[in-house]
Amino acid sequence: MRPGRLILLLPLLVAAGVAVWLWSGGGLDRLAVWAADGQRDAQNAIARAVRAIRQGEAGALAGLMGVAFLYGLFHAAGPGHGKLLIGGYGLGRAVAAWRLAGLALVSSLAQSLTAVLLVAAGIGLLSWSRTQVTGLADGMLSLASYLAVAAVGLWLALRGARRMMRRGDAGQGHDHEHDHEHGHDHEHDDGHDHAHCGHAHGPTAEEAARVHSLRDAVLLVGAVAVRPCTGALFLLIITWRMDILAAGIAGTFAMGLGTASVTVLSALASVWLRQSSLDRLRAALPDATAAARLAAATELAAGALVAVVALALALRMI
Amino acid sequence: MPLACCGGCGYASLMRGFRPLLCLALGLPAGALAHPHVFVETGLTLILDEAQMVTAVEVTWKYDDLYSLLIMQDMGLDEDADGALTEAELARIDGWDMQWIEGYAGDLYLTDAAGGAVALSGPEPLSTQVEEARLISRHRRPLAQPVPAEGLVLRAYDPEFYTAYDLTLGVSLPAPCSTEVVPPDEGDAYRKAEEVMAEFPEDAMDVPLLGHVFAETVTIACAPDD
Repeated sequence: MRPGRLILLLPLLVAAGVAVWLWSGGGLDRLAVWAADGQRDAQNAIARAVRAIRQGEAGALAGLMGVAFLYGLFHAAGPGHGKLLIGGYGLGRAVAAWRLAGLALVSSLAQSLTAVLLVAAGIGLLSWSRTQVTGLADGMLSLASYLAVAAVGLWLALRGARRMMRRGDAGQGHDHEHDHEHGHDHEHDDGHDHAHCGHAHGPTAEEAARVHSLRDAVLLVGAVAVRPCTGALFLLIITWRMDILAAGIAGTFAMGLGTASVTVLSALASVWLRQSSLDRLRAALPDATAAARLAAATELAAGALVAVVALALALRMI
Repeated sequence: MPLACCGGCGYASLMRGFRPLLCLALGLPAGALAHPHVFVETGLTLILDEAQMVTAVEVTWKYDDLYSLLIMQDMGLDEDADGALTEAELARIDGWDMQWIEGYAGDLYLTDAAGGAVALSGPEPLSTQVEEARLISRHRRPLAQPVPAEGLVLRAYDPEFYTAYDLTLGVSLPAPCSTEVVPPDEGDAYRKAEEVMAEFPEDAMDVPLLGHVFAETVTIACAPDD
């Protein structure tokens, strides 16, 4: 292997090293302790800010927005299903960085919206108690979210497997599979095998790509957003009871932005990792079939990892 | 190594339903699952008789600012949000965290010198106060059977780690007994996770919880005075 090839592997090796440290070197635990400490400080500061707003202190709302943002950031830096899904998707699919980052931002804000809607519906319309609302979020919705993340992972894996099988009899062409995903397999950054199916299907492939990526987007956002953050529920219930709900809603979206800063990072990191190593590695492979198979295998592996981790987390809750 | 537990699972059981996923759930570092929402500073006071047998444990729980605010506002107390309650309000909130649901063990776990679980009776409420806008409650847990203080091990944790307890309010007991508090150790935590997995019955469907890996461990020693 030429040294040039080795350099291609470097980002992968770095990522693998970080993963090993996080997983078995106690890194994740240290991260969790750091995140939990930060969260505790942020949540105490939120309480003080909320009381200050109630007492009419100047600048208290801005203070709440700031600490709520920090709370979201620490919360997301700890364990979270959003990073897992967004990161896995970015590794497995040829998705543009800006697009996945946008999806990460939207899903975090949608998660804030879920919290607002849940409190509004639960406490406002149904007169539920506080524990009924938080219980639903921590129980059913949390489980639903893990299962949805697992389903998206499985789906990714399935698509990867299908593509692998299809590449298996490459050479026989692919014109018979109109319902398959020629189009959305290839985002704009993946031009090298875009051309040969693009001209055959033309606008149909383009349309299919749009529909598929919209469906992917809805799935990603939905899987993340279905489980509202418990801290946001606490804040909303408190501010509801104190008649300063508007401040609570603003704080909830600030939390969402804090969470988004972590999920956007994981989106960018995963796309960078894929483009810097996997894509280049693929381009360096001698023949197109092997390259396509590597791409399909990457998708399969990333999807399977997401599915298995999410299922494992879901199982812990049953 | 957290993943080592999967080696102990046996290949045959890979075929058996959820087992490999259970392995993975345990193989994940505990940090991947830690997500506390309530933080409680905890204090423990051990009550001993003349024979250095522990008869009861008094527990102090000091809740974090946000959870205290949530409880008070949800109960419609402290309207001006100054963090102080009137006598009437205190009377209303008294005992709010003492309505334990069936199966709740009080997040306090004792084992005797031989490693056996020590049974605790239900809570006897002692007091509820508010200090700088934080709720502080105290209760007493009598032991079903007094046990020797020597070698007794105490841990305060929520198995699900929804609530994070720490022993910042201290552990106290009369001389000549003394306590040693050991922080949760990561390497040790992994070893424990593997032990939990090893003891986990092959056909069990529920997943053992790992909240205890974040718990501090208190060990009592009563050195003879000489």
